[in-house]
Amino acid sequence: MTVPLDPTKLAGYGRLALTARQVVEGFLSGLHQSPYKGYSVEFAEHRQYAPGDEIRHIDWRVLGKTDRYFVKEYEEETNLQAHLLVDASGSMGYGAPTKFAYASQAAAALSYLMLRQLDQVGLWVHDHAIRAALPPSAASKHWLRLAQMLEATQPGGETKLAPLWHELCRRLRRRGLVAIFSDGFDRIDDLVLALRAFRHAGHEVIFFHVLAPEEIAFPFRRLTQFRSLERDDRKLVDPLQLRDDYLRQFGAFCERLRTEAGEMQIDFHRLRTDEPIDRALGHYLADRQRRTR
Amino acid sequence: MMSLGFLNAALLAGLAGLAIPPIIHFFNRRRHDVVPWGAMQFLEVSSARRRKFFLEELLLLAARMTVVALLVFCLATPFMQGSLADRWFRPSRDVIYVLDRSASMGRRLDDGSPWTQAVEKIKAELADLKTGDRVGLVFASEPLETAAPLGSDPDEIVRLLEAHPTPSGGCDGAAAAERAWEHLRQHGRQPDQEIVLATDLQSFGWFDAAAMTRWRRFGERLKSAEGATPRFRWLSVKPADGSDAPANVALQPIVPSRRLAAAGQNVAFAADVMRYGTAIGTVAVAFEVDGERRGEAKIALPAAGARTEVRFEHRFERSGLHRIALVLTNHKDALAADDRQDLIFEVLPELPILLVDAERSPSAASSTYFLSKAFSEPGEKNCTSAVAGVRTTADRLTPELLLPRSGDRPRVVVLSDVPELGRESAKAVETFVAEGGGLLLLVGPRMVQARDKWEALRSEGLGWIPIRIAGSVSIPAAESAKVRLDPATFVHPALALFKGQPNSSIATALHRSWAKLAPEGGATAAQFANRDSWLISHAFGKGRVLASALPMDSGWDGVLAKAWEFPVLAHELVFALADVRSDAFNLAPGQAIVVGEERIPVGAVPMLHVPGGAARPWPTLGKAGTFAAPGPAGIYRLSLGGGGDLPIVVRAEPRESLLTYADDNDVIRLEEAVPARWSGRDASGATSPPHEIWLAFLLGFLALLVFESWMTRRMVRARTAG
Repeated sequence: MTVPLDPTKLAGYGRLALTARQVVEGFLSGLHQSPYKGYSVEFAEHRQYAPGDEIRHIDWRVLGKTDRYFVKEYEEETNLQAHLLVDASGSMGYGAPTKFAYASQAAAALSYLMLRQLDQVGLWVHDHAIRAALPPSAASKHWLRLAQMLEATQPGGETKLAPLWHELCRRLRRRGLVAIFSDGFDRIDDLVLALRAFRHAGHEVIFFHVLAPEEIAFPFRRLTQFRSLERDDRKLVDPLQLRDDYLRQFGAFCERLRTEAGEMQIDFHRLRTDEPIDRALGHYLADRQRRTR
Repeated sequence: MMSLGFLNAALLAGLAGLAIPPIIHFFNRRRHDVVPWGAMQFLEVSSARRRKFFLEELLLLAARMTVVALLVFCLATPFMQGSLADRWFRPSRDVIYVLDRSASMGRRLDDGSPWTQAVEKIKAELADLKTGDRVGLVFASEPLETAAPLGSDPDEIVRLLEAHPTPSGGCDGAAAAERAWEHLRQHGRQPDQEIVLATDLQSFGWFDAAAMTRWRRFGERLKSAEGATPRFRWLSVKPADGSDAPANVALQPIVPSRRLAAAGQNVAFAADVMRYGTAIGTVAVAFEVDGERRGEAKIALPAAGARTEVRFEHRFERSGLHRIALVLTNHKDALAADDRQDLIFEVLPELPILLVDAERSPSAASSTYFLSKAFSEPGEKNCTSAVAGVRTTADRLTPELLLPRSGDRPRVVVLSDVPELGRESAKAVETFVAEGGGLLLLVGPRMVQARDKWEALRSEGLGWIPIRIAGSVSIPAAESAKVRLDPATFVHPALALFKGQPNSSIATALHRSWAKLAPEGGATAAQFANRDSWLISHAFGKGRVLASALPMDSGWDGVLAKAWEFPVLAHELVFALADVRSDAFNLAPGQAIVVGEERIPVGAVPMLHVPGGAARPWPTLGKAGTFAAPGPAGIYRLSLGGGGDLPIVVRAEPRESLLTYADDNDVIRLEEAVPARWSGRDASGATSPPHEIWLAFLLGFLALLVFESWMTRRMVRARTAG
């Protein structure tokens, strides 16, 4: 399901933009600080502590060694580069709203938040290949371009996430934040390797696991022919026969993904398409807020 | 062995419903939702689970199809037959075996005989009896015999059958079945009752017209009787080639030229030889007297269905009861029972007769003069006559003379022109004839004159006087008007010698006067040339009466004095009339033995020696001197203690020689005449009754229905549990 855009509405931001902005504004109305700190992860040098510096920037190791207070300085202290990877493969086309539409909303909301903080946000829409890309930027119209790109994309194509993520990992020069919006329906071993690559490259990774409630609960009862959204593949199954195995396999997949992500210190968050986007993101953002205090 | 069948086989068409569950399953699979799906990789079912699901589905489908099948089978009323089925399902029963014991059951076959086969089959069934089963045995023979009453020890029945001699005689299947039925009604205890008819299905005795009449009568009794009718089952031992009459040569009963003889007389014994089937060639017939071979003849077999006579003559030197036998020798055909015929023949030292004259003082003019000359005096030696005549007169005729309390009574009484008989004498004569005596009534002028008295005697009597004396014929002296006797009209056996002799003195004698007789209950046995009756014959009781329109006196135109044929005629007449006691020793099947009370010493226990078996006490039937029928065809001996031994022959049933068998239509006709449940018509099929087992199928249907419901719910619950 695509989110219809109406550029004339509300300063031309479109519904996606509007929704995303509403989400973020709503969040921000209750919070005063972005959960995303304005510093890059790249260390530049030490300088002597001056009153007013944030205590958390004090390098305690140096203090222990020298008994003097120094703070760490970073290259671009206030500009975060965030890369949003939105999976637009065929499987993301399932549901009403589609997982892609939901992921697009979430991605747009998140990018709006970051852009408000003057962080640079890039967008990569992909299936087994990059379908659309927007390099990171903090420009004022950047967000609109980002939303339009998302709106213009229709999910389809096969899922081959891992090779593409490896490729993207090589392309991203600066360490930054990588937010992945995907259902992860790929070989999990390959996915884990790809995520590990992001982590090795120094990126902070957030994995938004976008799923439809039907994929989670598998509520089907009647004889059903499941037709693949990515390939010419059909299976006629009795869902009642299949359900236990499906839930076990799916649960195991999700659990492994969560566990591996946890081990790699990747923020793993499930987004259900039947949950209001503002609530889903709001929960996540609030949770992140608490963790980063 | 066991077989399965269906009483309503047409309903098996419902098995087409077996296709319903698969069709429903197929159509259900065609109706499905279509869902575009992304998580295809999770739609894999493990092989173990897939196998489990497949087996569950298969089991459920199989259960559903089986439910349909069981319902169809239940409605088609299945039954099982066979010894195994009997063991499982058959309730305890009372069963009576009716075993055909007729001569045809002794037919020679490649593998024994129908009798041995029937015995083996019965033994096999007796070995398969359940606890609670009661059995009995009735021989379908003449006479009927309840060989083992219901409840007899099966082992005893087996011993009885194994020790039984070769079957003989005739058979009455309907009577035997009726006897079995009556026995079941009296002594049966089990609700399940069965009568098994073990027979070779020979037409005679079971399916011929007379037998079918008896079956129909029995069927009527069954219909009107209260209570359940037993089941009837055929235990057929019909020979494999039962459709064709096999090669068989049969001797017919012996016919003696005279029924009684005196010592020194020649007697001819003849019998017909019948050929059935394809037997060819010649056969040898041996003639035996008292067990000694006295002659043999070889005869060419006649055409099929035709007969050839074999004849032997014998002169008996000794008086007494003699056993005559004709035996086919050096011959083996289908049936041995008809290769021999036996006859007990009585030879008297002399034939005692009583001559009753009208004259008070017999003279040459007496009516009995010539007769008495033709015969001898009792005990007279060197006399050629075998007849000993005692003369008396009508006024001295007493019942004691006719029916003496002791000693021999005369065999024949000759009333020679007796004008009148007293009431007592008339009654005695009537009794004498009724009890087997012979009466020669010579009607002369005195009787004609007293014809009113004779007419009164005739009307008062019970019919022993076979004539009405209408008057007399008297021809004037002119010779041309005299009348001869006509030999061509001689039909009486006593006149056989003279029938073909037109020139004999008997035939050429001219008669001027004779009595005019009209038959009243009798039949004309010889005539004058003018068609007036000369001899009128009549059977009364066990005896015979012969009335002659001519007295045997000088009125025969001098013939009697001159002709040698007169004594011959006189002898033939009295021998033809003589009280033949040998009938008591030549019995038809089922006929009682009657020997006369006087023959049995006081306190003696009569013993009957059966053919091939031991002697056993033989009971009287009510009246002393009367015994039950001895059994089927064969030679018996009745021992009377001090009264001597009496040989007894029970004649074979000649119709048993005709080995033709019933076909399916005959059997069906019989079954329709007897309203009962019949089985076993097909000898090659199961002989046990069908046991309906629809209840088992119904229970199976219900159980499987419950199982199918439970399994369906279980599967649905299991699959929706997650």
